[in-house]
Amino acid sequence: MDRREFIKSCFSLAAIAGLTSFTKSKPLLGAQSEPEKSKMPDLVAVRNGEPGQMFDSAIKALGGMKNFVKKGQTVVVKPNIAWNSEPEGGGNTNPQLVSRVIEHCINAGAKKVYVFDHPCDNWKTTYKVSGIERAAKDAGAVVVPAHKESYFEEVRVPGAHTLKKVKVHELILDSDVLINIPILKDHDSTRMTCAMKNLMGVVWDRRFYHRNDLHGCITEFCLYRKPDLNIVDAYYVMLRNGPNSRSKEDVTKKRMQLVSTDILAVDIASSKILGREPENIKYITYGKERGLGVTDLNKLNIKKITF
Amino acid sequence: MSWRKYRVLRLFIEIFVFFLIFLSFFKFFPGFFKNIPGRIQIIPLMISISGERAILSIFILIGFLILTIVFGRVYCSFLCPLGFSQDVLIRFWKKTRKKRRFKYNPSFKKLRLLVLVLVILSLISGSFYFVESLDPFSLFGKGVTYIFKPLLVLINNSADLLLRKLDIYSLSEMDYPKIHFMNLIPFILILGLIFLFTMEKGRLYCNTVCPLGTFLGLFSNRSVFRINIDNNSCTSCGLCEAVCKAGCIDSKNKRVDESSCIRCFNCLSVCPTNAINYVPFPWIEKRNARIEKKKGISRRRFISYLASLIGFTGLNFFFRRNNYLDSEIPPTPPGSRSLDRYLQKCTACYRCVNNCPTNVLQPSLFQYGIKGAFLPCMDFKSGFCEYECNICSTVCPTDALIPLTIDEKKEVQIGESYLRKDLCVVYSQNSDCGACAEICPTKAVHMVPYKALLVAPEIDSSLCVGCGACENVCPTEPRKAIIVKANIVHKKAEKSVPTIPEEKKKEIEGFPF
Repeated sequence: MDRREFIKSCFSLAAIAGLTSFTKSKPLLGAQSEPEKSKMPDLVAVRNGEPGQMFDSAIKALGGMKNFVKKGQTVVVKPNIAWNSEPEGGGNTNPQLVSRVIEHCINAGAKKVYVFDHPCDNWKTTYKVSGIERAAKDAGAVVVPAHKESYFEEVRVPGAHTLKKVKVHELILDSDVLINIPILKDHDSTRMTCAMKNLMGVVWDRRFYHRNDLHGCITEFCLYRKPDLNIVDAYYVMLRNGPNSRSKEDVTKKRMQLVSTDILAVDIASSKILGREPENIKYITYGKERGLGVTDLNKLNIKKITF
Repeated sequence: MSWRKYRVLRLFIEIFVFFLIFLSFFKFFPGFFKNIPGRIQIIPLMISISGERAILSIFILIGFLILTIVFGRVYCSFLCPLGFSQDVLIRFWKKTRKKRRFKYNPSFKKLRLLVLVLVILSLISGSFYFVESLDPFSLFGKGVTYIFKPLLVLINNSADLLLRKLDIYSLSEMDYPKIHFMNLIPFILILGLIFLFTMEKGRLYCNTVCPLGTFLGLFSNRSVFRINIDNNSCTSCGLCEAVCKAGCIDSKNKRVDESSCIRCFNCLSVCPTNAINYVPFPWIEKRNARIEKKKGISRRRFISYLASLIGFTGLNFFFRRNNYLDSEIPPTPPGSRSLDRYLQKCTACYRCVNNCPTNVLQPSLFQYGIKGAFLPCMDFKSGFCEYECNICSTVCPTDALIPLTIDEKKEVQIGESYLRKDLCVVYSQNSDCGACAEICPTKAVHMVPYKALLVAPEIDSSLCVGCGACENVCPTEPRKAIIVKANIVHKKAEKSVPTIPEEKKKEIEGFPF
């Protein structure tokens, strides 16, 4: 092969590569691609689809929900249902996504799927206005209240410095599988709310967190329990004035979704989608120190799917 | 002619109206219908005369006056929720005790006058207190709040606990209303009185203590339709007297005290000789046969009634009750406009308290002064005012809270939040918190850069609506670092202008990793 031929072939290869990426043809990169059996991705990133549809392809890439939910298990699905805000407001997890996750759990043979959050606004209106109550019930889940202390039980957090004891929802104790479905949002005080921050919704006394090193408590909760699966809803993303902006201006339609078992990696990837430096988010830094997950995204096997 | 149907009709309407009113204390009726049960209560209507919807109230009141002039005190048997409650009690006593007969009860007229004088005196001194604690509607509301609601919560919560053990989450835990024993003292006194009265003398409360009963008695006395005893066929057997809850039938003298008759129609169907009936203008036939009445007494009574009328409708206009302590007053609910106005109009029926979805509205103690004792107040320990909610303003029967649309309500500033930096977690501990800014619905409380990576709360008072969310969630103990101070006169909150987004960064196609 002479030099000319080499350059030629290089160019043509580049052109093909370029073309394929420009055309975004579905069969090449799209949802239909089969998961590699040998190498399961650590993180699946999907974009340009509808919430339910994106989850279908993401969970397929991870080998299906049966890898996470075994027959006869009970599952807690924990979306963000914190605010009296409609789905388009980007305040709560997308109900379409929640309902699709529940369907997958039930199809995988889950005995029971519970859905709850300890909301900030009035819980009844929040459950209703967010659209999640309806969606979850229709999908076959049990929607459970979490607005009073009696629903929570105290547990010890091993290895914690601050959050030595914490009252968590009784169903967290009783259930086999915890699926975390946060929505990605800007946050006034923690800069970002996503997978780790979303777990504050299974806790009774959030004031304790706020009084005693908020970031530290958020991190230390993961020492008690890490979700078995994290599904980040980045369909509508609140870029400013989070977590409860009431202005449509602050919300953009990103149409993305991240799915991973690694809560730290998924938060780091999410922070980049939000346009934040993960180093500026203290609980992520703490998470690195605590070794909650992989911090270098380059070391991860990321499967990207574009519709 | 069968008089039974009168009684059946009365029972039917009485039960229907009672449940309408009863349910309106809970979250059953949507929007518009919510206030209808409150608009058929006479004392609340009288109070709302000096308010914004005066014309409507006057029309309804005139309707009630005409009704009373034509039919007598039908209000007391058909529409009064406290009346129905007493009827239930009377029935209960009747079932549980041996033979019970009512008796003609002429002695209570002086008592009646005494109570009226008390009510008027208290009104002159500028206090609503007697109206507040004697008005049948407010009393009924207190009964719902102090007795029924806690019972309901108890049953609900025990059932919920049990079901949760069985992994059923269809119920949810409810909050008890926040009741101090001081709230209960005057209520229990009157409740005891009602128990005693119903046990021995039927609806004696309505004919002695109830200011409304006395007031309506004035018109009932001269009503068109009256309970009439036919002197010729009456044998004075006393059967009608024995069933008369109001104790207004004097069977010996074959007379009925029309001012005390509550039109329950129990007497009509028991007469073996059909001597007692309910007919228009019976006095025309009877005029000649009638025994001379002492005119002097009735005129004196007439004047006292008239005074009571003026008292109820007019005096609250002129006399203000503003001896509250200026510090630590909780804000008054949205729609009350000002504390003074609120104190002049609220009768503490607690319909707003029961309807409040976040339980921020609770009975107060003496935060509004002795004269404003027990009125509902915003209690930010129990909850905070939901930004997208206007329910309390739509259920007020006296217009102490005037109806607001949700958009109007969002612009009412009932108080302003104040930050105490020495207590605040961020300023005093150099640690991230921001619970207040996170929950603030208007961004009046927002975070600004402080030290290094820290952000700290700052307040823009012009945006604050005084909802108390920040105070409620503030984590500091025992004192809150952010508190809401009441606006004695409500102000207008500015609408927050949406922040103009920074120049949109070029959206990166694809994932940034």
